[in-house]
Amino acid sequence: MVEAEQLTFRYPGKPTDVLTDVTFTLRDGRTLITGASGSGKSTLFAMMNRLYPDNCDGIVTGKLRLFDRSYETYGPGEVNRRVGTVFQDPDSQFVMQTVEEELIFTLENFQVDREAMMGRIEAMLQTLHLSKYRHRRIHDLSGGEKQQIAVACALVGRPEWLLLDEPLAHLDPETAARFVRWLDVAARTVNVVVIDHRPSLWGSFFDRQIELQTGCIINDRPFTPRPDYEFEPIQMPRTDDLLFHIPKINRETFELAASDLTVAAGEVVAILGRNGSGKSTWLKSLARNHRDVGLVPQSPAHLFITGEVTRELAYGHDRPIDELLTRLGLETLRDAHPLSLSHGQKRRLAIGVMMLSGKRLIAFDEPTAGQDESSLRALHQLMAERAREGQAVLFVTHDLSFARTANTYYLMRDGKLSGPYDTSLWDDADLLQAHGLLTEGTG
Amino acid sequence: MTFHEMNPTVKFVTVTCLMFGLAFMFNPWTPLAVFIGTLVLQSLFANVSWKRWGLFMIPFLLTAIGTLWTTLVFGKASSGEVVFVLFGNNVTEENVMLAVTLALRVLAFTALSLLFTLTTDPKRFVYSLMQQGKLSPKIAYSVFVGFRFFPILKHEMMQLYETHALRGVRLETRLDHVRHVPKLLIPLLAGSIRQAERIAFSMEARAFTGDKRTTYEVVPVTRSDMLLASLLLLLFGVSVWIGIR
Repeated sequence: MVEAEQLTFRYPGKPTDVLTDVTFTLRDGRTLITGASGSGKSTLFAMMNRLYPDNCDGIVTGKLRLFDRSYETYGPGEVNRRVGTVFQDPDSQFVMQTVEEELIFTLENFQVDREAMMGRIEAMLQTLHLSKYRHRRIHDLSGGEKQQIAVACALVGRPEWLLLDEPLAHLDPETAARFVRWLDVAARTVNVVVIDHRPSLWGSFFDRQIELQTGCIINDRPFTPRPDYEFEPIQMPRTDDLLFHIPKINRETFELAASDLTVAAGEVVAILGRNGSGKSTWLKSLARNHRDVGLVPQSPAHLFITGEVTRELAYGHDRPIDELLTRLGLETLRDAHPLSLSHGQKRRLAIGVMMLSGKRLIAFDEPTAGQDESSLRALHQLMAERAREGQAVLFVTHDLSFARTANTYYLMRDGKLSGPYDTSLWDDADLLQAHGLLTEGTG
Repeated sequence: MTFHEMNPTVKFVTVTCLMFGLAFMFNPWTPLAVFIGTLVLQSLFANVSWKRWGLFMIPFLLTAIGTLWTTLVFGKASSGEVVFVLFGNNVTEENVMLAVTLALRVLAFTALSLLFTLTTDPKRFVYSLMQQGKLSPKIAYSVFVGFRFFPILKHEMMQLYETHALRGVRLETRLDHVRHVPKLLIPLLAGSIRQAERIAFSMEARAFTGDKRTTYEVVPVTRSDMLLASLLLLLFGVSVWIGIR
């Protein structure tokens, strides 16, 4: 389907190429493309369904043939009739309100006859076991359900290939494992290409794997299931205890039980549980009720109020900021707009903000979603540093590998917090299972 | 045969024609007749909650009363018999007629607009504009995406308020929230542009190009559409006749 020969790609106005000399041929079957952020895998992905170079005016050299035709000979949307795509973010790939309307939208684009549409939608949903969602509003579905609907929308056009861009990034491990098992059956009749930097979640789904590094293919071989990254627990001497009380919250559809949390300085706490179990609500409540707690949201950019790194750090107090700027490695970016920083820099800036405002507990909301290995290592480093300096660190996650960095655990289920547990938690299969934390292949 | 089922484009064109025509009538009777007639047609051919209608009407009713009042108090002095004196301003019969005309025009405009808005499903309106109004699918589907975008944007804004409050921004009263809006614009805009790009990619990836597609949701033009449009036009004709009689 795809033949690339000495392919290079450069974004307009950038000094270096994102893809440098890529040569490969994609054959039928299931292929995984891995690589760290910035390795060029997303760019390559967007060239395979021909969203690039047209939509970003990128500069391409070398050969790229899609279905035995050079990429330039396709018009917009043309190759997309043969290649279905599922994107990473469940929230920004739908156009219409309900599942059925969304499927109709795709069929209309494919110029399917009006009379044939309902039949095809019904058959598709039946094959994928999604019939019960037909009239549901997409907005009300969970992340995993949305990704299933996105696959249905891609498959209803009867493509020859299915491309998926990190479809598991926002799913908890149980949901992710269920999605992979479901996709294994759903995608029996199409060829599949997946971009993901965490192959471990996919079990033995693939036939082949291609690894990219800074725009080059460094590995192209049959797929072998691989264990996930490993992290060492952060061990620091613990000092004075802090006690937090989190009051009960009643919502129409959800109830968060009251809970108490005791954290010692130097402790690293992980809060685990399924998506929708109430972890984030609990965390927000913790931060709202205690001035000692500094919350770093999932996208750290939400924290920023001003238009300059220095002003951001100096906001709301008059302590000196210069030493901290150097320690965070942001001194060259003093005047940059906080929103223009990279994700890692944004997170460091957010932590800097928390340090200067004298928070004793730094709480991260889902800090690992969509992060690659080097970014996770950097986060691990940052957390260890905080703990060493006598701050307590807490994070909410469904990333079981990264959770190993913690030394104390709490579990959340249906709005009820239980704990603390120590690392022996990982040997208690029943407990893990009950909280959606055990999947085949891990644990 | 109801206004809910009526083809939205036909309805839109008819209502717009009526409003345009009303702008040329300078007597109190025509707008009054249109106002009453619209209400009659609405009660006959539409199932509109009068409570909702009343609530929407309140601000416009106030506008109408305001118009009446200001035209009376600050009306141009004109020759003619003085009917009464208001705050030292001699109000002639001509002044009264002008004031009532303007006030009734506001009411007639409102009644017509409400007849359209309260009986029209926005989605069906866009479909119909695409089919009868030859609106480009690119624009139409941007509107659909907009419908979906709104709750997402609202959610994003609530999250920003929440995290900013945690950073010590004073956000206690409604006024605090309003004052903080300029600080939210750049992050909201940055987020929206990214989201919009993603949705645009997703649309192209599903073969949406803006030209040649089939249509599932057909919004037809039927005889009852023409009948309802004629009724509205007839109402206008009669009202004009009442006015210039």
